[in-house]
Amino acid sequence: MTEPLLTIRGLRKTYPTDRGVLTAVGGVDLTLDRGETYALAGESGCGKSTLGKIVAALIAPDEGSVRFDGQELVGLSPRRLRPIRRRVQMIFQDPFSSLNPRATVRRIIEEPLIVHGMRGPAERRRAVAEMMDRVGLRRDAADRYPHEFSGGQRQRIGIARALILNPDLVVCDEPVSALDVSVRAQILNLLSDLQRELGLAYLFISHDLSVVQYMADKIAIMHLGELVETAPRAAFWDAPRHPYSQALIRARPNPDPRQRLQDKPILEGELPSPIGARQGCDFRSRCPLAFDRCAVEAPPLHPLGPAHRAACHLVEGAAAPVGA
Amino acid sequence: MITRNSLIGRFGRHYPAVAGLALLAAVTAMALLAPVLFPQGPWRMVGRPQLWPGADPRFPLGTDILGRDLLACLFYGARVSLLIGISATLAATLIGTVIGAAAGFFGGRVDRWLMGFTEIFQTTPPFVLAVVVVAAFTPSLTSIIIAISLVSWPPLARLVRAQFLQLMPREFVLAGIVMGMSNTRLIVTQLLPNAITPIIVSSSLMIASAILLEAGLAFLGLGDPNAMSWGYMIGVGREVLRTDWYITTIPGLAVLLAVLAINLVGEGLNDALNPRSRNR
Repeated sequence: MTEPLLTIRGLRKTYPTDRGVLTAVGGVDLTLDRGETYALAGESGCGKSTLGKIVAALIAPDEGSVRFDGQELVGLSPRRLRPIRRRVQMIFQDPFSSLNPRATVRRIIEEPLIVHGMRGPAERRRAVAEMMDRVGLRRDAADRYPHEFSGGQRQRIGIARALILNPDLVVCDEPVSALDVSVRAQILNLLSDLQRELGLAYLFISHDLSVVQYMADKIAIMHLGELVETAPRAAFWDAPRHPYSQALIRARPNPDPRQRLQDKPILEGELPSPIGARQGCDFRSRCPLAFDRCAVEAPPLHPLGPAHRAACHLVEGAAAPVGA
Repeated sequence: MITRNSLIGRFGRHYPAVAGLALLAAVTAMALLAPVLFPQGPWRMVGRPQLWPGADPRFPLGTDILGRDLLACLFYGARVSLLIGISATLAATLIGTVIGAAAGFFGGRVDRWLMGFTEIFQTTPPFVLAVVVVAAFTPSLTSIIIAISLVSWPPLARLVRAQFLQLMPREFVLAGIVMGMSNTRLIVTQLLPNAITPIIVSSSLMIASAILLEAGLAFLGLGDPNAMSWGYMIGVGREVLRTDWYITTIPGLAVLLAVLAINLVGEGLNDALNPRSRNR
């Protein structure tokens, strides 16, 4: 078997604050294969964006390792990192802040090629035009400025910029959260089409489980900087094992109006502070199933099946027998 | 193309700014025409001293205490004021932008050192510092320009730093990092173009304060002895202020109008370039 595209091991990132040390990412392991979409979901503030930025080498972690295609990224000098940057790109959340307002669309999409000294001016022009076709932008948009476009169009420009270098991995940081619901589906479809055509792998960060369900091959649920469950798509939606995953799935809005009156158990209790040292399971204050052990011992991620793990004492020893 | 919403269109609807621009054009014309209209130069004693304006048709603005033509002095003074105002501002803008950009971009220790350095300049009264610098060298156009730019850059450095701090977390800057841009390229292609508007506006206003500083220095006798300037003219007339007040008043008015013109143009530029104040 070949090495996975991205291997994250023991990743930690903390920030000093006035009230103590804030743990944004607290020891995350994750493996992402070529061409697959791994969704990272969780509430806002759970550290999923920080994790995405570490993978895109925008933030240096305190500890841990990020291996991309066999090469360690953590601690690499900016010069050594440059060839990797070509292969790991990022799509940002806010299409109104992610494009340089003083540059034309052509310049924005062409810039990565210029930065990496790739191809001559005429060839770059052609590459930009092809990429614009590909993401569904009219070619005559090339000489206009970002403020002349809608949010959805601007996100297409951002996607074109990320893909012009032909990367292997794209970190999508809430790529549709800032968009109108009516254009979300278009952008999501575009992302899946491009993935198929170009063989991209996505690290897809989202707080919206319906988006995750639509996009993800594998799902990782993050809670206060730690993964509480990772699962392949089918296992996650059919049989989520962690109480938090179950609560998140239940909390999704139901499109069927007749079902709306039905009472849903919604998470109650307080989220522990991410600042300072913690003991036991972070989720126990909101967990309907919490018992004595949860207060003293933090559950590790128990393997449950192929790529399926959950961090809950209740699933301990529940792994399907090997070969079953 | 001049449309209602183009830069020129927006500037043109700002009437005080257009008036300021006309005044500024007049001062520039004076500076350019001085050697043509008064080939003998401003220093020649051409008539009886202390002739009041209108007393002799050859000297419409009269003569000073040594019998020099005030009109000629005024025209040559415009040259010095504009030259010093513009060169000192360019130099100060360059220093301020480089220091502010470095502080804002690198942050941390670099920022603390550069801002500490900036504060040393800011805590000293600019005019006193300019006097010290000019007095330390011999007064000449070059030393005056150096002195004025040396005391004028700190506010600009702070402005550029603040702009950079505001731009740094924006996602297009992060995108630049992710695509592998070098620091220089990030600063030049992503950050500076988005910080340029306030730089232009405050630089245009800085020209006015540079002209005032120069006039002040020349008034104190720290001007270039070979360059006729408005400040020097005011200084010369000081002794006869009670009897022949026109000798100080005429160059004083010139300074006032030039500074006013530049301020009006600066404000017009601000309104035209700043999207937030548009459509008022």
